[in-house]
Amino acid sequence: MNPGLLVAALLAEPGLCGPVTPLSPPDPAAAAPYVEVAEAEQAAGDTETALVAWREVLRRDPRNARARAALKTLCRGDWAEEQAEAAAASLLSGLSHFERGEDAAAAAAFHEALAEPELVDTASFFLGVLALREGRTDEAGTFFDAAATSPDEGLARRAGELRLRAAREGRVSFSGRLGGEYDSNVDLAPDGTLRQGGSGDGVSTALAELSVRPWGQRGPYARVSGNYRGHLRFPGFDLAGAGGALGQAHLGPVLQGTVEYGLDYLALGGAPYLLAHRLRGAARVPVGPVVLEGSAAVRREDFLVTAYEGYSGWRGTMRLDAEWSPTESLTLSAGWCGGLLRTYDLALGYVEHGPRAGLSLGLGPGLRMLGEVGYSPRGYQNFDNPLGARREDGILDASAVLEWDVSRHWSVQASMGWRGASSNVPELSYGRFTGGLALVWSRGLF
Amino acid sequence: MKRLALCLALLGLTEATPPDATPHLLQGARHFREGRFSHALVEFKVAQRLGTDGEADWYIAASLVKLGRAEEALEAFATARKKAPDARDALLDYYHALACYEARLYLCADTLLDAVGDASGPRIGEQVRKLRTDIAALFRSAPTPGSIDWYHARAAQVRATGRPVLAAHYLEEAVRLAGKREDRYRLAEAREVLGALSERPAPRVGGDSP
Repeated sequence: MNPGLLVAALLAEPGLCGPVTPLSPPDPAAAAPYVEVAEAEQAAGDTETALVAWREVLRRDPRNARARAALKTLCRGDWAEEQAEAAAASLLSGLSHFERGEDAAAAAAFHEALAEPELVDTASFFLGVLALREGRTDEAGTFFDAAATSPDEGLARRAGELRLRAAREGRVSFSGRLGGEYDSNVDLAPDGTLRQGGSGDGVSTALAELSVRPWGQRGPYARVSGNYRGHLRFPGFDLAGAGGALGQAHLGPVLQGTVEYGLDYLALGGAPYLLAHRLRGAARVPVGPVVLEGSAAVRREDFLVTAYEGYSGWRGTMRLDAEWSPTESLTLSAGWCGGLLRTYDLALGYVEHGPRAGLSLGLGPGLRMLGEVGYSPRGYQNFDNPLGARREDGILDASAVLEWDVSRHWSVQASMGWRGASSNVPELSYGRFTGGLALVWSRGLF
Repeated sequence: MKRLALCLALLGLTEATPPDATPHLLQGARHFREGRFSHALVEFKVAQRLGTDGEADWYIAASLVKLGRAEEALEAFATARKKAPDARDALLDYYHALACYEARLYLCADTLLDAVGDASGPRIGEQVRKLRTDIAALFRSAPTPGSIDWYHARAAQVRATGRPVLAAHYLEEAVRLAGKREDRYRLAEAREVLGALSERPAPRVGGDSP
């Protein structure tokens, strides 16, 4: 080492050899002119100015190897050790704040931890999570990109998943879905009922949704959507809908929850069919190794067709699930769900409840399978005079979806489902199979 | 110093300054105002690299003066005069004069201080008068051959290290010092070497370079 540089380094202000607090997010391009200045000043023998410039490089590009080497040389190695210790302490402090839900303090600590290359991936991951929570999805994406290069495979995989989510979410986001499927029983014809050509049909589906979350995953949000379901053979069953929702989300260190009001309109076969107001609350809380998730909803349904007016009324649903993840890629859930329908035509009202189970399995990068099965005995509460019986039904639902993220904004979904309905009124029993493919495009617009 | 910061703040409004450079100029001005001259120098140099049509060179030079790097400051002032002659003002001339003074270019300093006068406010004006008094005291008698020899030697040293602008500064001082002696000691030699230099600084004030 040049003795002049050494003397100058010793004379330099002590803070210049202290830990560097990076700016957010990392910006190697912005660091480039500082590298030029630092090298020129170091070559000119002005260590103090060179140190200042190298520190500015590290603030913008914490992984810059030249800057780290230069600071280590100019500060005689003390800097590297001090930096590593300070960064490790910052990371631990950040994790502690993160777990307590103190996001601002956590972010500040994680930024400090960025200064140590070995901690950049972990600190970046959590900074990405914090940015995503606040709807700063571009920034979150940058952090997840950094974390996705981690040698820790689990961290890299999780960062990759959240990178996709950051690309698809935002303070304003749009999602569109186009698909086609086969429906074996469009009109829910009872088993054994023979209809010319059967009740099966090809169905095209379309869905568009715009979401606004001004404060990210917390706070108020709004959503509008439109959907269409057209049939090849049974246009009378075509459904077109539009809806909107206003909600409030809470994202605490332990409890997460939402409360939402929504309004839905549905047209059947081109004619007004249903107008529904709904109110829904949901909460999610970890308890030991499992996560409990519960929701309750009430919906006021007004059928706009005289023939169906008897179905108008109040529908309430409740659901409680426990989720458990034995491995990183597998999540199992089990729970109970129930519903209550109070209709104008008292014979149509019922109570149902029963168990359900589900799984989510990661099959590879961007590829996952979701499955759910549930059974609900349904007891109608009043005698149905026309049927001459009080109905007792049993509903078995099973569904599976295979999702593949083909690019940052596109994914393909293959789905299939089965509903088997049994009834003490034999002609009301039926089975229905659906299966299809869909292409989904999602993007955070702002 | 406040005026420098004001000038820099106003720079943000000029069309000639590229948008990427402006935040660095302003940040440099903040550092300068708060006495962090190394930090200011770094920001001004970054702004220079991003392109400021020469304005940053003036502030680089001023920062170098505050850091005690007088010879580098003289070179930076020469660059600034060449690239952005219209950006100079009395305060910057004062810093230029300080650079000359620190580099023992007393006549260079005196010329600049004379032009500054009270144009940069009463506080600077007081310092200008004090410096000019000190310089006048140095020249109550004619410069000695030994002192002129020092300027020739220093010019040769810096010329040998590839700094012709700085060499020109020392030779110009030698020319002016020789002019204060009846025997014009080494005047022709100084002019000859000066004429052979590949680069010479732009006139300091009103084209009074020798």
